[in-house]
Amino acid sequence: MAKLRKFYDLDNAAKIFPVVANESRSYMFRVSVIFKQPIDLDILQNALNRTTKRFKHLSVRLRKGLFWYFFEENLKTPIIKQEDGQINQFLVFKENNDYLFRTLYFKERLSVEFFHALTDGKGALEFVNSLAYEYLSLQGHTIDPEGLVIRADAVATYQEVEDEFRKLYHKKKVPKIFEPRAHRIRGTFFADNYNAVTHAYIDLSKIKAVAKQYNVTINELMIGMIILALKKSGKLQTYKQLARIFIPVNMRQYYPSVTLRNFASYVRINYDLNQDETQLEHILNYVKDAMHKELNLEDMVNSIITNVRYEQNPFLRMTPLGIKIIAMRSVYGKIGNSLNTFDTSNLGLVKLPKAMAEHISHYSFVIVPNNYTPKAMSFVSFGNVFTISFVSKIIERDFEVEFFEILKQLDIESQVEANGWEVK
Amino acid sequence: MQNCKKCNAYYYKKESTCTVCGRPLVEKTFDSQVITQGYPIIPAQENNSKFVSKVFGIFSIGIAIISAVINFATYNDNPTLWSLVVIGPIAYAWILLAQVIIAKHNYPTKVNRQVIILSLIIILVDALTVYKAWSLTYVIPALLVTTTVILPIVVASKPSTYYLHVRSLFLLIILDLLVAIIGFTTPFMEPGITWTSMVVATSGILLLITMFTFARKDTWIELIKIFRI
Repeated sequence: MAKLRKFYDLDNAAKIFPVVANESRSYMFRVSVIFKQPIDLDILQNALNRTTKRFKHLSVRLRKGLFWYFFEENLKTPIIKQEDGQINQFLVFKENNDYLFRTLYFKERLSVEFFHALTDGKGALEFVNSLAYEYLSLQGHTIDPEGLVIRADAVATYQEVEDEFRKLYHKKKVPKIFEPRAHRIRGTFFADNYNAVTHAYIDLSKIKAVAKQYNVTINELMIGMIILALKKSGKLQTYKQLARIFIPVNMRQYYPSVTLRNFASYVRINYDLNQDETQLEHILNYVKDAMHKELNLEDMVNSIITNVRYEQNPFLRMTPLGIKIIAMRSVYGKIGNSLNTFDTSNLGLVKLPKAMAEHISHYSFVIVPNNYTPKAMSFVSFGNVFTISFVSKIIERDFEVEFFEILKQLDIESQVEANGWEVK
Repeated sequence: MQNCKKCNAYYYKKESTCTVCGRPLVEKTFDSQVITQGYPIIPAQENNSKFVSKVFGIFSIGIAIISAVINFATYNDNPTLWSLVVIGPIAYAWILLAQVIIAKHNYPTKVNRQVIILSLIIILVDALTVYKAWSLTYVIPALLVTTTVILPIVVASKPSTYYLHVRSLFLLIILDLLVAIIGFTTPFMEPGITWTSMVVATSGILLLITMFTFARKDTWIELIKIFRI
């Protein structure tokens, strides 16, 4: 008989993704590392095989049980494909040797697109860094990992695959939070769920200087700029709902966790776009206060506990998966989609060993919008390059135009790279 | 590099207009260490299969509606539901197409679905032609026993994928037992005929014993995975 395969339960955050993901809502995100030399496919395949074996939580396939989905060890070889111009498209697992991540290359760029049920941005970055490390090592470069990357031959620990959400769970009552509907950006959608992407590469020191000038963090600066760009791109329209900016928060910064699975909560910054305010400084002051208020650990943990509580409910646990799917899709279709105006995510500063960093030009990080939240923006820093990635499901670029206008007013130059925005 | 004055943006590639604002670019010196590759152009795709399926779909619906209308209009002269004989095969052909030919499930799942659909159709035919219980007494047990004998042999021919098919085999066992229970506890079968129910129950139990005899660990772990709450 065949080798017995290990299996894992999906973590609390992951449980919703296989149920609600579809072509227009792929729940994929992309982390790319851009080398200074073109990629050698054979070496990359070798590196991918080695790295995938090390990251047990990624080396899985998704299967259905009678009550829940579960992950099962995948013994097939992961596939590498050349990029086809599409970004973060819905992943048909069967066409990808059952893997829930897609590995792509194009000239010097190595990209891995992850299905969010597998891991969050931080877990994904660890994998991509290890893959890049392994690739460079197999090319013959001698690199001391300096404790910054996980080597493919390093021993895996149980803590890396732990579901940290369950550790936070308690049975005490938590306050319910009212979530208002969000203003929706409207426009003409690209055909075939196409995601148009524009990367703006900016000097990190300039961004830091501007943030310092306004006495805010880079995160707050970006959110302030998003709000101002939304306001300016809306021209004279009036708004029935608040603009709600969705920001995932890495919980590893609050808890000493080494898990490589999902371990994030979120906050939303609400802003009434009907206000007359058009000064970035004033909006940044608002964002700073709002972030201070929202980044309350107790509230974030409470939102996690609320979600885990649904999962722990004995009645829900014993409900067959087919019924759960129908219920979760209908609830998510009515509520989950309508809570965000704009999605954003910051992967932070990528730190690599010195001997490795010299072979890498920069990183990029692209999240995915959906039909209700058709625009999103993500950012990542490496060396002195701050990469902002705009992604859009709609053809209109009013938001991006206004964002670049703000960058110009701040005297920030950018180098731009995009996939086709004129695709029919 | 190419520069957009409005956006203060630089492009490495020889593009003529700014991706963001659409304005023309001008040549300007810009010192950058960032290596950009651009993205491949997406080839245009034509999807003929959807058009073909739409044509056949309209054709099927047309035949079904016309048959039903004629049947309804001539029902006084010919009081039989003959249109069901036309609509049934068309409906089954579409189910076959969707569930077996197009569906991406593995073959034991497809076989099980066909067994269930065929069984329901057979019961329907029996019911529409004055219920004599031949469907539940003979045909469905025969169908199930045949499947219970053949499907495990096919699955066993590739032991490395056995674990993927445990749930299908288990469903087959449940179907076997279900039909047997109907035979013993309800009046839907021919009176006095219980041997078919006994055979179908025995085949199900034998399959279960075989699974635990030849692949005890695999079977047990798969059942844990499937029924994990």
